[in-house]
Amino acid sequence: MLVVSNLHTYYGRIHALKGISLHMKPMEVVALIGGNGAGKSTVLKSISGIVRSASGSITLNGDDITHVSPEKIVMSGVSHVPEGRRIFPRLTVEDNLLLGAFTRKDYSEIKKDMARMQELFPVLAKRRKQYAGNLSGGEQQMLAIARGLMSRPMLLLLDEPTMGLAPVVAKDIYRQIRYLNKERGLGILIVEQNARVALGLADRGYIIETGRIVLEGNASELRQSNEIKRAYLGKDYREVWE
Amino acid sequence: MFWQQALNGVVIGCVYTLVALGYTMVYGILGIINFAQGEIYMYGAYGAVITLGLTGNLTLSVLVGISLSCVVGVLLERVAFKPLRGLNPLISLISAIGASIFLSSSARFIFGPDERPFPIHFASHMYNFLGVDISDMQLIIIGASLLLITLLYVIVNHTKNGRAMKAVAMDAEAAMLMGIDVDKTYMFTFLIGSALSGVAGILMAIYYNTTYPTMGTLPGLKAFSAAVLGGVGSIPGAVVGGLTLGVAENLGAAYISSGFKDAFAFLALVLVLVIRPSGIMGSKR
Amino acid sequence: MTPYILHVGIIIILFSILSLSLNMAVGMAGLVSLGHAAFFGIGAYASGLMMLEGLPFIVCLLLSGIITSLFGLLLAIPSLRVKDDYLAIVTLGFGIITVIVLMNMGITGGPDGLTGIPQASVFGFDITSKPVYLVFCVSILAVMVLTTSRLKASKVGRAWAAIRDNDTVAMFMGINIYYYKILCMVISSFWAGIAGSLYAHYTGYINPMTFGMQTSIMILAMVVLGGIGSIPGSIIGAAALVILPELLRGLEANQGIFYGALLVAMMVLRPQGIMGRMKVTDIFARGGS
Ligand SMILES: Nc1ncnc2c1ncn2[C@@H]1O[C@H](COP(=O)(O)OP(=O)(O)O)[C@@H](O)[C@H]1O
Ligand SMILES: [Mg+2]
Repeated sequence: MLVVSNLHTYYGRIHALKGISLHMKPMEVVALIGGNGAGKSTVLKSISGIVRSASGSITLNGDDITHVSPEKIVMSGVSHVPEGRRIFPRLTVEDNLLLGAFTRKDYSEIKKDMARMQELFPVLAKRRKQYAGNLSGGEQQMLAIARGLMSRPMLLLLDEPTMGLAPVVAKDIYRQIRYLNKERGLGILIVEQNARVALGLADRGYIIETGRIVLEGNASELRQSNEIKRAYLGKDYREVWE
Repeated sequence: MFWQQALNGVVIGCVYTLVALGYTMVYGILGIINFAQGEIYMYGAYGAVITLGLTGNLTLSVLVGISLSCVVGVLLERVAFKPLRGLNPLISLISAIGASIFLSSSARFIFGPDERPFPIHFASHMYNFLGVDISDMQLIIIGASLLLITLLYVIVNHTKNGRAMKAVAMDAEAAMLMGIDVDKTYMFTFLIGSALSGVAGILMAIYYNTTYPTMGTLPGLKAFSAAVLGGVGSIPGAVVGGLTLGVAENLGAAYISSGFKDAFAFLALVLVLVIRPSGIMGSKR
Repeated sequence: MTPYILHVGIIIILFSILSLSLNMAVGMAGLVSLGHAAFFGIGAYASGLMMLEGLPFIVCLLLSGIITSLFGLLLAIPSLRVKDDYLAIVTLGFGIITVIVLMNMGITGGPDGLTGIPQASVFGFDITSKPVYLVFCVSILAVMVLTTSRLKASKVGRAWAAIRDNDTVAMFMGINIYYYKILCMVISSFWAGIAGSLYAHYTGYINPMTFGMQTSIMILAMVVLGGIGSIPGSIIGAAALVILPELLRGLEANQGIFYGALLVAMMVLRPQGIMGRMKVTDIFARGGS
């Protein structure tokens, strides 16, 4: 479904991605794992078109989307839930959800989807008319995901969805993500610093370090890999996480 | 006398409000001070006056005036602001000042330096409410302003484009992820702000029966003060600021000193920025 | 040299003092002013009034600098609370109010201004002839350039640079940002007042319109054109914007078309100015507000 090949992205003189290649099959959950500043978020931003990549290509179901505008990419079925949630704080929960459906014109279906989101995340129903900025961190993350789903994507890009959340809340989020994949058939590319959790969820994973993919494989293989254990699952990793 | 001056102040305050709304929306969404807002106002007036002189059709002239303001505003955004996005707001401010000088000098070149009266004369009826005289032109200004403010309120709060504007104002990158075309939203913002200023310019060209190249400078600066007074970035703030300034200025001129009339607006501007930079209604910055 | 060239030369020197004094605030300490011409005017009026009272020129020159710096102190107070575009607007308001006050006060002669300001002489020597006055102004500019570059390289200059780059960080570095901001405004306005005094005695006639927003913007444009933070740049910028209108004389009032377009083009294409090595964008990194 998604094929990224040999992608190079710069921020001014900073060479953030140095030839990233990865691919995803439909309905797959893929984890992108790496430390701070490795370039994980940049991969997602390049896919969703909010940063321009210098060379390489991104195709979605065979169509080249490398230099396509972010709104076209949303319309072609990719939804990016950014790092730090980035909900619109001085808009209501409802308005946030409506903005998620900005590219859609099927207004009666949007209404139904709003209802579905509130079923999926019951907290949002209760807080429908409140400012999103007044929600707790976990609630904001759920809103961010729900808002992302409002464009009816087939591929969801999730950037560190549990960052800064209490473990119980994080668990809840992961349960929802699993549900979205299993029951809704959504492809999910999830970015994490927390390798243990991400690999528990994903079918496959990529390890990224300073703009390069250094390791890839099935989640179960990666979990066994000594390198991963040392770098991301052992003590070192714990320090990154905490 | 007091109420009469207050009423005259409300009329001028309505015009300040219309221009202040342009400042406030542009600031709220792009984070820049569009110093050339007063020139957009002036072009609106010229557009209407010249078309009216040629065709004699008032409706058409008003539409042409508003359109000219919109064209100027959108071009301004493309040429003078878009390339500077993301840089320090000061750079945009200097660029805007340059644009403002350019636009008023160009108007002088194109339309000539002389004042032009409004081509048709409005028979002016005076009505008397409880001892306060109000002309029909004053009623028109108040009515048109109310209508436009309501319209703007509806657009911003109850339409998809309005929601997109708010989203871009809060977080442009997140808005992009929603599939909002941020460039288009900026353009839309300039379009609305310019249209409001254009209407204000036309109303003033009729009210004072004169149009000239620098007619936008002082109202523009005062409207900016009004926007700051109310809390720049806030739409209700622009309304409160505009009306407050209009009334205060007229009462100040009547009871304190008419020579210092123009100073009140700027005194208010300086004091507000220094004492309470967020303005009367504003919450941030 | 013809009197015309000498006249243009004197005007260039006066504006060099103005643009350099503004550059001290904008380029060295990051304090933007859109009301600098008000200081120019305050200096001119102070000097003119004192000289009409019979004080000797050299005393008027110095006192006008000192009086103007008191107004600089006054404007320094807001500069402690707001910055960047907001500071620009506060100073703009200050500039406009100054002109309105000059217009409406009896002692300043209202819109007609002051006439018959006595000619300048120094210790009995008449310096009113154009060549001598040019030399006199150049020597004052030279003193200013010397002290300014000294200052720039000193501890004060480094503190200003730190404040310009990021005043919060500067504060954490232990720099008393209030003291240094005030100092900057005081010195900057002092020099603008000196320029005002020199101007008043050169023309013998002053009126409020000379010191309005247009002039403030022009001075800022000189700074920007020459290069923010660059001392030679300020002089080049002043020369360019004094000479340009002279060359565009035939265009009369339409000069603004070129002048305005030039400002926009500068910001879009070369915000670092003619002499600037740093980009204005490096000087004023966004954020921190
Ligand atoms: N807007 C930006 N401007 C400049 N450099 C950036 C920007 N965003 C990210 N970077 C740099 O690009 C590299 C990758 O960043 P990012 O993709 O955010 O990493 P990660 O998400 O893995 O923490 C880092 O070195 C970071 O400093
Ligand atoms: Mg990241």
